[in-house]
Amino acid sequence: MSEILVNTIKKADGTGGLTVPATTGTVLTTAGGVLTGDLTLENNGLYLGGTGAANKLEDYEEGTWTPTAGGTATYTHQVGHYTKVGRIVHTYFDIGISSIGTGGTINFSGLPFFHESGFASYGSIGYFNALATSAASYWPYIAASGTSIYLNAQTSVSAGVEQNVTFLQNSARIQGTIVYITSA
Amino acid sequence: MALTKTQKVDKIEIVGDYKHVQVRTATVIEEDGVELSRSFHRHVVSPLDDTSGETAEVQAICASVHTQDVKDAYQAHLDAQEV
Repeated sequence: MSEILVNTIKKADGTGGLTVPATTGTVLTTAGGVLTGDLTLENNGLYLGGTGAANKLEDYEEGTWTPTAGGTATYTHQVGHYTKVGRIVHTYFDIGISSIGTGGTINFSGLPFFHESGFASYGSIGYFNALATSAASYWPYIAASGTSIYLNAQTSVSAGVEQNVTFLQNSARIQGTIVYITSA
Repeated sequence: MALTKTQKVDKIEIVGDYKHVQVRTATVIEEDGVELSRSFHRHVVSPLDDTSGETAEVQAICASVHTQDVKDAYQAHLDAQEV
């Protein structure tokens, strides 16, 4: 195995940095390049397994968001995290209500990205306490083109699923995750 | 050694059929002008949202793209999803 250690690479006349021709092939340049047959880098995206639009990974981002019921609601917990990989958004939320005031009771908002149109996405609840509707199971969801999280519930094993149940009230707390699709 | 913390809206995107405005706020920590860390916080302004708490720039964009037609279309879309 060879190893090359340098501090500075300059042009032959001693000025500036090294210029690499902007060609594709096996050389990575400032304009991108094909590293192998399955990996292509461009200056605005990364392609995996091909070079079609469906192979493009154009974005990665991590951050926070603030779940909010709006109005005059006050909180014990307001925590949101997201990781966006391409069009997929992984979200975690923890919202605890101190006093609901004039805040909404059937949904909360603050999502980091809007939901793509045409379909809804469903998630899971990891913890809940003092919700306004008693149920055996809850599912959070984001509607098509939505920016809020609603809750579906099954009040008993034999009951059908109730959509958009009332769940936020004084002292309510709910934690969960949803994975959904946004635009590129 | 001077540590500074600044927050600024560093990305505004208009997306989707109903012109949702996605706002990214960056928090930057610098030491003597050298960036040590950058983190992001996001939220979305939908056509029916109150924009009074947004920055002037975001308010201007929302006022421009959230026309009455867009608001009506988004309200109709939400109404159609109610069960």
